[in-house]
Amino acid sequence: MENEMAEKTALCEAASLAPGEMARFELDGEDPMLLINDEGEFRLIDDDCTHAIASLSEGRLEGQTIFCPLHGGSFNIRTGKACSLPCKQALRTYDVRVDDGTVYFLG
Amino acid sequence: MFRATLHFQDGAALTLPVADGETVVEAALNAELPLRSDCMSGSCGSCIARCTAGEVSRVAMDQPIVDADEIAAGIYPTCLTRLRSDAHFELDYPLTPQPSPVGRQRGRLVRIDRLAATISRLIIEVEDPDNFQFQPGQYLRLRPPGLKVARAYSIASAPNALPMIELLIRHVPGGQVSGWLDSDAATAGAKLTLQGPLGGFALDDRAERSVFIVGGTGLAPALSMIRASGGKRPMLLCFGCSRREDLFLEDELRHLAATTTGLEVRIALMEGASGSVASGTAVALLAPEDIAGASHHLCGPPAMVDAARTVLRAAGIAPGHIRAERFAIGG
Repeated sequence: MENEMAEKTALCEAASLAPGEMARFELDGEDPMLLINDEGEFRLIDDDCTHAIASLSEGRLEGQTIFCPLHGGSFNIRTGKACSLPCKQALRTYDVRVDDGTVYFLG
Repeated sequence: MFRATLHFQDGAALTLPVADGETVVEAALNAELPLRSDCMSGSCGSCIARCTAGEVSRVAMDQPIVDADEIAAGIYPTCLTRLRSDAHFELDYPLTPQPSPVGRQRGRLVRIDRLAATISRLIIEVEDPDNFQFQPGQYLRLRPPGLKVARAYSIASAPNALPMIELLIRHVPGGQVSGWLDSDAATAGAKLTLQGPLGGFALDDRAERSVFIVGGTGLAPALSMIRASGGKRPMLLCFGCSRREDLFLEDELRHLAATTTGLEVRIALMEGASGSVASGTAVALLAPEDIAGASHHLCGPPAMVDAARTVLRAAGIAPGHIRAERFAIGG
């Protein structure tokens, strides 16, 4: 039987990331991504800041806003949009799904 | 709300509104005007401008990137400048040709040559050269594969060499990029992440002759300007290194001088000088007649740039005729 679901890649166990925690993943052929437990819902966004080369995984998460460690700009983790300068260009957001306690990247 | 007018080297001018509490760089980012910026904290030098009129307030720095004389002349990072009245700023680069907006690029390492014990030359092919049109003197940030950090390097090649770009990298003990350079991963085909083009260091084409006083890998932006100029104006390159084993590209520079109209090259070493290489600093290669009437471009480690600037100022050159790209020591 054909699997009609989009290709999915397992990232981690859902229980391994508590609300407010985040983890960086670098999959083959993909730019690095940041998985965030946003009050129980998982968000997956670009890990690379769009302003300069910096890993948002080393930044600070405050509610729905992630602050880049390099120059202090910020993004909304739900929409990917830049919230404060020097960030302007939005981050890409990716679809995730939790199946049987595992978080999957739907790519 | 006040207005800042930006005056570019080519005579063009743009005006932008600057809100209370907003820095000039923030205002320019919001208005999408081509004021160069990068670090947002006064330490990269990209956003430096000279305030020629108006009242401004400046955020003080523990270790300012500009010296006291420059500050007195109104030269300061615009990311640390707010307005108290309408003001005018002079920038050290033209409005046109305008480089591509700063963006992220992929690059492929084409070749790597060890030019000296501590110097490597990288040739990188950028994936999207149409969006990486840079102005000679600019820099980029490079992140080798597997690293989380990026480091800044001036582009040594001319824009007409795109999609190829050349970087000159100094190996730093314990440095992350240096570690990658020494590893097996730094081979042809390696995929790199680049960000750029960045920075406001540009050729001052307003004087009769352009002089470059550079140390070590500070040669890179000068080389880009010299190559891009293609013999169209008189230029003098004064290139200094520490010791014989640190000297690199000597043959190539002599060849460039021999085949480029109006280009003179002088080389100095602090130790181990002989033959056509003089003993001493790069700035000591200047004769009095080389100083007046020329535009001066300095690039290299901060101590070298400061020493060269001191000599030029003692010889009566105003801050506005001295441009400097200050390299921080990486890691």
